[in-house]
Amino acid sequence: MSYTRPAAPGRQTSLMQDAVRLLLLLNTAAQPLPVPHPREAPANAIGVLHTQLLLQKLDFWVRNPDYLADELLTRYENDHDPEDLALAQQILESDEPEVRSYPMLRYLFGAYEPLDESLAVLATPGLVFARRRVSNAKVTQWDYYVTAAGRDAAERSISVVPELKYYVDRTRLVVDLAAGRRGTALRDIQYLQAEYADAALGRYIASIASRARLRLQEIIGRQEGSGRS
Amino acid sequence: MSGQTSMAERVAARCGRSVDDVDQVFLTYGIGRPNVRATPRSIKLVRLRVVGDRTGNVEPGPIDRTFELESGVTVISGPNFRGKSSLLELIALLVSGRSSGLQADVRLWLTTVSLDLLVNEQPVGMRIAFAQGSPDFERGAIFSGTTTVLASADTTTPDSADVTLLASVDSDEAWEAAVASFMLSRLALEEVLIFTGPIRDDPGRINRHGWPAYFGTIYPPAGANEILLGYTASGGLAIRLLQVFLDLPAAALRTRVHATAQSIEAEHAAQQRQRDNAARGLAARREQAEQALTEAEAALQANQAAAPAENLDALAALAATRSARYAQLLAAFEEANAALERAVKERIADERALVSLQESLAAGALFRSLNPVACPRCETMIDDMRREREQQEHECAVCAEPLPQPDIQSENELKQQAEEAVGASKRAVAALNTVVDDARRDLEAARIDVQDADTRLRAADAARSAADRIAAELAVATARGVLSALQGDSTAPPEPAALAVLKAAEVELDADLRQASAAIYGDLSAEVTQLAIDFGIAEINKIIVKGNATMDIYKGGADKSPFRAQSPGERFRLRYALLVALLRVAQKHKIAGHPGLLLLDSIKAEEAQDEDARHLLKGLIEIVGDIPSLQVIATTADDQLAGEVAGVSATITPLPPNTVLF
Repeated sequence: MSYTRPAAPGRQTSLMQDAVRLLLLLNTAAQPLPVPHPREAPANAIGVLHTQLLLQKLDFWVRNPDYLADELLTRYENDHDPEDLALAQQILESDEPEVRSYPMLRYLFGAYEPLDESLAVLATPGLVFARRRVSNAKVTQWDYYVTAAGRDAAERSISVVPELKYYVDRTRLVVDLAAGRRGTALRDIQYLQAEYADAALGRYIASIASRARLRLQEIIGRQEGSGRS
Repeated sequence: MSGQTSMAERVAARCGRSVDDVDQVFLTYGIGRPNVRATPRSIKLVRLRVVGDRTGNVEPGPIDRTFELESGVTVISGPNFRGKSSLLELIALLVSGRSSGLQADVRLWLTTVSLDLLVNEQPVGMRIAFAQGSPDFERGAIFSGTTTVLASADTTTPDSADVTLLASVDSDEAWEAAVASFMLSRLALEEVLIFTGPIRDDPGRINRHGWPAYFGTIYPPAGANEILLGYTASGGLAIRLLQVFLDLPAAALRTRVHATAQSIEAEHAAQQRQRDNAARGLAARREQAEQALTEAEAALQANQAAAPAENLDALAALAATRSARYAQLLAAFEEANAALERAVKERIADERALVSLQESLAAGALFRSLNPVACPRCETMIDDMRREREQQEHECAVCAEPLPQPDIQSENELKQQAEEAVGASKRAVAALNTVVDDARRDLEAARIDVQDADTRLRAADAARSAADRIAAELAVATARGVLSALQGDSTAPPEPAALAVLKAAEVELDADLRQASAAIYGDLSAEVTQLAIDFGIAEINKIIVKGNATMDIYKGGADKSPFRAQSPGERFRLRYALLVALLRVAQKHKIAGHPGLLLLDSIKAEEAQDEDARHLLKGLIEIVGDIPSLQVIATTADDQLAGEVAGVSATITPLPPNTVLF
């Protein structure tokens, strides 16, 4: 097998790429397990991230720097934290939105990509286990447990390939931006973008990089204008 | 006096103009030749009749009284307020044409007033009818005829064939005009023209003084404090009257010339002032016009400077070449830009590939190094036996398929290739950036060249426009025209030619006048001195009457003093002394002088004491025998005077038992 082949036809990423990105994302975003150790959790698990929808939405922002920067501008316009503007500016003024974006397909519940294969890659060495929980007889919820071996592997990967630290930093930012909101709330935010909402089912969600860049210029222009007056 | 034929020649010589010019000026302004000597003037009253009906409290009843008047002094006496002054006023109304002192009740009472008189020895009848029971003027008439005929024609509408009606009028104003016209012509007198002014913007005017002014020497106005001669305080009039009654013919002409010259001069001066005012406005306008001309010339010059324009065809060719080059460069620029865009896309793709490869390889290495722990499907633990077989047999511990050996060398080659690709695409982008920058610079230079050619083309085209040139030339011509029109105005007009002629004439006439009057004024002064003594003015040594109608009076060893410095009573007597002296001088020199009639209202002479009037009247009575042409009608309150002084021709008194005269 080739580690670099795309995970599936139409995919922009390779299976190994998806696996290591998910490992770093889950390791960063997972919450510590409560004490005593929950009965449904694997014995060696140390953290958990609830619901596949949340995982998919966080992954969307990590994979689409243009959408992430746009959301940063929105938060800047609400809270006026200059760090948000500086970050958005750093992303949009580089070619990161072009180099680092891996468009996702649009499904019924928004951006979605099957995770089974990548999770199998992580499960075999015992780094991450996905558990399905059934409640109310019908609704299925996935929980993603990170093991101690998973944490070791994540830390080791960063020390061997420092470029991977990018995903750790981005995941921290995305988690901060999500601010504990549930996956449905994040999906609603992402739906506010016309390109996201209007994308046909099964099609790539288009880039909003140029629109976000215009928005950035307007904000900076407004600031300079009011600064002058 | 110089001969009249030489006057125009003398004036022409003096002012340096032709005789024809001088004659033309004299004709234009009605300057006649000096009059030949007038026939002697005389007025003698013959008969006065008043008819009417007296009303009121004092002796009312019908009035019809006739007064026969003689040469010499006629004294009107009687109690006060019984009609003495009214008689003199009635005479004034008939002889002068107006009366300022006649009381309204007298006009109310009277229906007809008749006065027969001799004017230059010719009998004349003057009649006035007042409306019955009203003071309104009804009719006035002047007749000629024999004395006898006139005496029986006491009506304003005589039907006798022996009476010639000279004038018939029906208002006070018309009566005054008719009498004035008649008297002036009969006595060969002219209206006296006196110029007054100028005052401020008023250039002045010529005032005309007619018969009433002369009558002021017959019946000097009451209360005429400082007026030596005449009826109004005009020095010019007094001088003129003096000259008339000394019969100095050049004087009349000189006065007329003087007044006319003054009038023309004042008019000229007023025009000059207006012109000066206009000149100031003109200067401002000229300045504006000069400014306009300067601007117009600058505009024309600019137009002309733009004119030697570059050849239009060459410019058009240049513009076309430059435009073509610009289009070429634009295409090159766009091409370079497109290439750069493609290169950037390629670099991004290369970088994506490199990132993906790095991540994939790192992940592969990571996961390969980990021991399989559980089946991802059923989570059954992988036992040591499977792991050992994987190590030794290269059989997958999970699915038992042969485990491919990682080709580290080929992985490194892949990575190196990807890195090289990124490096190459980055260099391509950098190189294309330079190309684009150069293309942009060239394009901008070409754009400026095109703009320059375009500007020059338009300038050349504008300069070529004949309309612009014509408009600029027209503006200059207009400004020059305005300026020259404004400058044409600026010369001051010459003094009117007539003025020079008239001034010269004045000088010549003055010379004549001085020559003629020297002897006469000497005689006049001697006569006035003697009469002043006769009229009882104390301590008179000498009186000198001067051509300017003033007197120098030497009294009691003191220095001379003027007429106006004398006491009112002395002025009263001096005035009559002058009038009598005029008469005497005229008689002595056999010239036309004062007409010989004097009216003296000593009662009304308020400025004088009774004693002054008495002295005067006595003096007049005593000298009247020497002057047969003198007729004096005088009022007096002194009943005894006529008896005391020999020589009174007649007395007029109330008819007993009446106390009123009529």
